Amino acid sequence: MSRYIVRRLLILPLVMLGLSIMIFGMLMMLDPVERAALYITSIPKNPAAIQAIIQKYGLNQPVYIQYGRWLGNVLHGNLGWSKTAQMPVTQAILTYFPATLELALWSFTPIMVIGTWLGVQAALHHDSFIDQAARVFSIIGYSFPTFVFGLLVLMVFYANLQWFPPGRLSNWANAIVISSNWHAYTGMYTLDALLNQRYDIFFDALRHLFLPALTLSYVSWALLLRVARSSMLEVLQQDYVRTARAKGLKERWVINRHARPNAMIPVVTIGGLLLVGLLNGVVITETVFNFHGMGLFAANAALNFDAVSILGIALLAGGLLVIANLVVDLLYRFLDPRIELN
Amino acid sequence: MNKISKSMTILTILIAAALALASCAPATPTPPASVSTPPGSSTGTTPSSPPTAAPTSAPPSSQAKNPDTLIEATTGGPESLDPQWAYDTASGEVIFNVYETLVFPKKDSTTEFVPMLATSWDISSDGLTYTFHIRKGVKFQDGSDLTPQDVAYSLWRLMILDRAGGPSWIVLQPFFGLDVNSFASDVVQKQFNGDWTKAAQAVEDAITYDNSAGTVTMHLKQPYGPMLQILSGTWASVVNMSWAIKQGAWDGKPGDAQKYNNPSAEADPLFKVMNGTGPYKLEKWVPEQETDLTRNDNYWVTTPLWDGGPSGPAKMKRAVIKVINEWGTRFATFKTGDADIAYVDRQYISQVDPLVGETCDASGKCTPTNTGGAIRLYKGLPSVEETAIYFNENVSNTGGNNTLGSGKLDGNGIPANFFSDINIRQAFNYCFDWQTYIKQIWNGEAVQAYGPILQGELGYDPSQAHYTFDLNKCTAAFKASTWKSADGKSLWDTGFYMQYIYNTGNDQRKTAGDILAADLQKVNPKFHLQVVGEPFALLLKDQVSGRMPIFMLGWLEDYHDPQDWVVPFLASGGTYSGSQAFPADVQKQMDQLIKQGVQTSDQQARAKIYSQLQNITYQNALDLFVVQPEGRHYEQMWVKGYYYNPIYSGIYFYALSK
Repeated sequence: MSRYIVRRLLILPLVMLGLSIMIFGMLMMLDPVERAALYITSIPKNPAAIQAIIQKYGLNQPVYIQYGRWLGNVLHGNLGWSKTAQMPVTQAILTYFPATLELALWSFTPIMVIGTWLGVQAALHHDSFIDQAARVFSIIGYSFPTFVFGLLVLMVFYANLQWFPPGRLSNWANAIVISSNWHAYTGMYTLDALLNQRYDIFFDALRHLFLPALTLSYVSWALLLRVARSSMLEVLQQDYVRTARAKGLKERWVINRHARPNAMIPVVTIGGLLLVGLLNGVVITETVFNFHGMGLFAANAALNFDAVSILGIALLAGGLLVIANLVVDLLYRFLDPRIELN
Repeated sequence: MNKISKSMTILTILIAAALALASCAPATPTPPASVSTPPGSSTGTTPSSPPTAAPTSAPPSSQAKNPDTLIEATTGGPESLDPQWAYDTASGEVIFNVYETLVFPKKDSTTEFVPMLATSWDISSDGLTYTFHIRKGVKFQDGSDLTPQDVAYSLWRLMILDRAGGPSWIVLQPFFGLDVNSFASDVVQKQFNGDWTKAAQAVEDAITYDNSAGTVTMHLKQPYGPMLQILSGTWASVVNMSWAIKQGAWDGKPGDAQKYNNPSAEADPLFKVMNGTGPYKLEKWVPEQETDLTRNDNYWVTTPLWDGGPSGPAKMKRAVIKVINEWGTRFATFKTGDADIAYVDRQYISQVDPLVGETCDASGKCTPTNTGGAIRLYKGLPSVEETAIYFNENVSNTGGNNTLGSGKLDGNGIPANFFSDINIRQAFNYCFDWQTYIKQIWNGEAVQAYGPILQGELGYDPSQAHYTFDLNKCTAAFKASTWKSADGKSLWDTGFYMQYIYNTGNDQRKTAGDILAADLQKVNPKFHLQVVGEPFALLLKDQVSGRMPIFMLGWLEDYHDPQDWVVPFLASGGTYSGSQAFPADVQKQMDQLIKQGVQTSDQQARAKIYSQLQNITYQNALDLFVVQPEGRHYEQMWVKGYYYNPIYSGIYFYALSK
């Protein structure tokens, strides 16, 4: 298995190289003045400034020189300066990724657990009221634009009830977090709060996570529910399930030991992709809830044609995708030992 | 129900209970302090009450959230915290709360200045020498004393640093000439043949200091009318020389100047650190998220800088600027009171206005509007920005240009020099319906711009001749055009097609184009103006290369003086005029007047010159000047002390309390 893992990980540099060449190539098709717009927020008062910026950042140099410079810096551990985030790209990722990771973790668990559970229940109660209710629930969730759902829950649960505010922390908690008394172990406030033994901050961070996690969960449950339901229905029709029942096994045993693990393979595939999506940042949810994570960072970088930031984000995304696919493959093996890793 | 179902139910209940508990957690661990009583001048809050002399405070039952912290919810964060590098208003807002300048606008005045880090100043009779007497006893936030050398160093550094696209040109011009836009190319290369050391020495000779006498003396190249205005800008903020050097900034030696010129943001050592003399200190800056300022408890102002002005340490312990770009989120934050001040985009005012309890004008006179309202609105605030529709009289057509259509007068396009005909420019002016535009887009809160000079600014004349919407005159002007198609038909019979460009996302500019296009069609269905949005990056490229025959953009002034308007709009090489190809004789006349205007000390004489320039723009219909919008400011009723000064970079937290 270790050889398999190493072999799969060796793909990573190739994926990253390919990604970076593709993105760089597309960005270089823009005129140097268009790329200089990254450094100019409005028509410059001093018209000579544009040429000065082009010269300074070498925007008119041949593509291979610009790419080579970037690649050389990357090989020295420097991903460059993000104009979008106003900090080095590495630091920007270290700043925004923990926020996204925290949101992803708090969302992914309910997405997977509740989504799968609902799907299995729908399959087990095929064509019953439970099944119909679950399907309606899933269609509504899937049809609900994230932006609309997010804003609605924000207006109800924050603007009116004042229960769950946007952002990552309340003002009073933020004042503590930026003070010298606070140790930022991970950048994830819920975890850091526990490590700092500040339970008030833990609950405050949780309050802020609730609505974005709910929004992400609701729109994702539908997908999980449908996949888990159809997969479970298919598995329940298999001969080995009929055999298990014919052997006189208890229904609970048949479902939990024979049917469910096999039905989980497509769920794991979808789960892996969902997790990668969450870790890359969810632009709309982060925008609505003013949750500064990778999604907002990526969207702003793209809007600004911020090549260096886009490349850094793409490298992270590529890495996450390769690793997630690997984990999914390993999980297949765990769920079904007949699957060979080669 | 099987075992798993039971487990799920229990888990669901546990999660719900935990979150319910979380939702019951206090918003703040400290009990809120009671709100201060209203100022004595406040009157009742019923709708029938007459205007009050000053804003009222919140009703007694309401309590300000975060009583020791003032929170502003806005869009867009600072680009840099270095006053000599930064050139955007978001940076300016942080900078002018932390750093200070020699002079400062007197409360809400745009033309009167009070001494701040200077105690007084003398101007020589020829207008070439300014001597500032520097205030004693002022300390930087790190505890060190302010010296005249710090003042001189800060201005030297501004000129030496001169980052591309930055503010240095503003201060370079009075010291090195009106045609100077860049230290490296215009001063070092052109005036000192590439000798950086000599050029940097010239900078230090232009501004000298005497620590023992407590003075800083500035030697100008020519008299410069708006000198005090530019010295009140955030770029002229005073930094502590020894502290700055410790951070890695320029050491003040002319021989080392070159390597400190034009740094990128990340290479600038003062990018994210601050040490000013102002009422607030930087606590933390998370770019594009939040800027946290804390009170400077040792602030030097013990007597107000103007009658009734603030003094002593700031009343608010903390000031927080939060970047919340999404309107829905910003609105919810403001509505719940988690933000004391919020930026409200023009298109969303109808959502906030029902919550307004009190409406105030620019002078601070307030009228109760809704007894249940918790928000105070200041409206009718004259802004220092203007929008215009620009004509290019010689459009670049290299490699083809879609904005010109066919590029010929054949009904499907226009020739590159279409707007060189004054009749066309006048016709476009007569065909623009200001009234509809101001009503539709600005809700009546804008005034028609008569030329590049702002209403109320030196040289502005309310009786100035200006264009008004008149379709008959528009028709007549088009018919008077000398343009003919290849087969000899008149413009009127041929018609035209061209593209009007605006920056994508700016609906105000799109609507202006739509209104103009509709009225052109009214006078002649053969006149086609296609309204096209371009992303800013593309628009920038097209503007620089002069590829747009007609486009709409805005201008926000750097310093409050007509000079800052006539240069970009009318001068050779100006931001806009540089690529508009105005008639040579008109351009020459305007350049002479612009030079005279800035070099004249007598304000009445200057007013005449700028008025003359304003009139030239009308007579030649050089542009279609659209509007000078009026601004709005929304704050919670518990906020006290706000006043409007259009030349501030943002909220001056020192004046505010809850």
